[in-house]
Amino acid sequence: MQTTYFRTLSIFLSITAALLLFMSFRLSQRGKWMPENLPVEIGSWYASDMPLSKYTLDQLGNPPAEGRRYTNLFSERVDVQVIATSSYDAYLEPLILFAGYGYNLTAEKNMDFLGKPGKVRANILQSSRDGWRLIVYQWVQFEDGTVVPPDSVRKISDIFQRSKLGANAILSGKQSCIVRVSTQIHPADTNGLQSRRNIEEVGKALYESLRKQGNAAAQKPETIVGPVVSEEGLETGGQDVAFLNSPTVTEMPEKQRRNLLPLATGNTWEFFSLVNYTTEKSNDRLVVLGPRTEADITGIQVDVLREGKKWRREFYSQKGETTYLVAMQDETSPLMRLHPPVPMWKEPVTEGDTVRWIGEFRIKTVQMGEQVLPAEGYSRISGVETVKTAAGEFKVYRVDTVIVANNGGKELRFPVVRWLAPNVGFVRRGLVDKGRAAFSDLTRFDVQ
Amino acid sequence: MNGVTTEPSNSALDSDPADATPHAEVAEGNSTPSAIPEIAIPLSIIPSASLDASLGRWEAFRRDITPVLSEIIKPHWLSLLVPFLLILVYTYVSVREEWFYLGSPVLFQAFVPVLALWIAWRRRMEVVRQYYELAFVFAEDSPKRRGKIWLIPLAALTMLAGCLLEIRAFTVIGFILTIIGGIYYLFGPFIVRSLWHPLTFLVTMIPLPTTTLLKVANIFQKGVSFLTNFVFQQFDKSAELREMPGRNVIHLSSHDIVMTTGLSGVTIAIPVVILTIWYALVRRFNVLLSLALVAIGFTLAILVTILRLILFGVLTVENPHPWLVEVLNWGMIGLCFFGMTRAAAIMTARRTIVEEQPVEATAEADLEAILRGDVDMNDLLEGTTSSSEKSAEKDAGGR
Repeated sequence: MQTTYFRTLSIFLSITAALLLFMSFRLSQRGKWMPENLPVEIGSWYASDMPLSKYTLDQLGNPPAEGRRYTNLFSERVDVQVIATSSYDAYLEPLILFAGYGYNLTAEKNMDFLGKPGKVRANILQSSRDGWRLIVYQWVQFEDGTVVPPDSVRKISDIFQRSKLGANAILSGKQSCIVRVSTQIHPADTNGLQSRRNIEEVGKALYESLRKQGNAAAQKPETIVGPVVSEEGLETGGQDVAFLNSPTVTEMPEKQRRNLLPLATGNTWEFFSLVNYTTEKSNDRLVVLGPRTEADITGIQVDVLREGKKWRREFYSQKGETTYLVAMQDETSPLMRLHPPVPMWKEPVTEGDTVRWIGEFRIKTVQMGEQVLPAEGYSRISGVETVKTAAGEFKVYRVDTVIVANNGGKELRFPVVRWLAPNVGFVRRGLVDKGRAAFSDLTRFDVQ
Repeated sequence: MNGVTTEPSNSALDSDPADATPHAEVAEGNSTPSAIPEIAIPLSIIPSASLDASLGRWEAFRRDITPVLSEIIKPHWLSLLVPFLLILVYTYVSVREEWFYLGSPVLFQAFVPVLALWIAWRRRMEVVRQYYELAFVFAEDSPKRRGKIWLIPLAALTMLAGCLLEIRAFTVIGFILTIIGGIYYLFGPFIVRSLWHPLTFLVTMIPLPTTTLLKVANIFQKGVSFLTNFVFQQFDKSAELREMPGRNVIHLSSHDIVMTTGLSGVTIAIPVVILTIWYALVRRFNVLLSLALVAIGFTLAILVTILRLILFGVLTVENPHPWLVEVLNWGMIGLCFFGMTRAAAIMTARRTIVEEQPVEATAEADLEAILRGDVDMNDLLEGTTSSSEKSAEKDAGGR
């Protein structure tokens, strides 16, 4: 009789001890994978280190973590965090996703922007202070390239989520890390389309980089045990779900995607301009003077007259279906030639098109002679918008262009935003005028 | 009684019931022992050396523990001990980060099992006696002598949940349930009840939530800062208490004292309170007396904390080294404990002398009488006559 009691108890205790040892061993193996080399350059995006703060790391249980800030030539920023999943605390979401930390969660949805590898979770947050929105993509990436949305761990004591994460770690044993990509949505960015393009461009490159660094041994397909996150409730989105909804691209008939800038000689556009927002007002007039050759360039010259006086001039060229910016000059500076010409768009245009340019910035002055500066340019069709001006309402393509020249380590930046309507041309222009923002709205036009 | 403690008992797992009777040699010539079924608690656990006034404490302990150790290395006990030790080690390893760090106010929790074991050791006499009484009256598989197994799977599930969820409190609760469940399953509810003091004391090793600990530490920081500042102001008019987020600073004319968790007294007060409870359980104090001692221990802890801060103020110690604080904390815990035990001695002087010794002596004599067959078990259970008295009567009659 005694034997039975001792034996039974011994069996129970032994099984318990064995299970505890196995489980704790498997759990201790989590977070062993931390990709070391995050991309330094993604297209026109350049990375700078942005380590997680000590406070954040303490909150997350001090896992291995990397932080990067990717900045493009438009000075737009995409922040990236990669965190090893060494404990449940590492899954704790950023404080901004919690109530009371200055942001309200206004939309949430599982997105499949990566395609086959799996879905990611997207959140839209709105600042309660200034109303600006933030878009955050989060996913858990396994070393074999599989992706799942992270569990929504917003409380350390979230037992349900912990048990799912723990079961997955014990039964699957696959290494993973948490990836968070976020960017601010500019108020002028309708439905956050450009922000999404930015975040997805960086996100895809980051995913690929991590996938390549994944353990080759883990490349064999392995089923993840159970869904790591439930999608229940996410598809309903939230008040800002429009920021996450498809389609990303607004499709228009091909006819309406051509002839964005008619440059027939004599074409004119008249603008009402605001410099420095409201402090300075002026009337501008753009006139196409026709093909001209100056120095070593040939292009269609467009002069800008401010209050009837010559203020700026720009040279464009159109070869095939591509429109180029050849040179530009304002009243105080010499002619700045771009070599080779900067491609701005190719027709028929599609929302999201991007063109990157690397070349030279050539300036000739009496004092300095010919100066050649290395330069970089970036142009994109960032959105289709409806713009209402004194000249009428237009469906326009917003074309963002930036050219950055490097003058001995000092950056010279020339950002220009053009709103162009097919067969009309310039409807609105935004540029930097002597370091101040300037916007011009069309009041009248005469285009052939 | 002589000879009983030094005779190793046979394995209770042996298939032959006659061999399995551990006190067969002792019982030779008596009729009563044959009625006592095979047992799991070794007879040798019965203390005798500790009652021998001619032996020193350590010598007595050594002589009492030796047969117990020789018993538990037998296969049936080892088969339990090995997995149990694994569970014990797992528990300590998983909770290490909550217990073992510099300035931890709950470091004492790591020693709770040892303290509980000591209470159980002090109760061993009653437990063995209870066991033999039950063994005499009830069949081996009686629910009075064997418990159900359900507590063990429950304990296992709790521990596994603690492991899976990384919630340390679950792990420790599971560990405690394993001990209670094991005793209940092997020896039944009455033995569990007779061990309720040490088993209940194990509850003090359950880790508190960090937020609760922080709140408690914060209360201590504020309270002790206020009291210390009040004392400083009597001598230094420029003394000022500055409340900052997460900490307080006592500003003195010569320097500032930053009130860290280690200096707040929380690392002294909590262990002192727990040690006081343990001491009250060991000494079997009633609730009222126990509460009074807890209050005394707590007050002493606060007083020594303030005294230490005053000393730091006088010696212009601005940021004492954490290790110095830790060592001082343990010294002060010892000091407070000593003070509390002195207070207890004063408050219970008469009872300690009059009541405690006879309890053990009577129980000892009762058991000895049972084993010798000099007493009727039914009389003993009815409690009408103390077996020792009967035995004395019998001895007197014999003479």
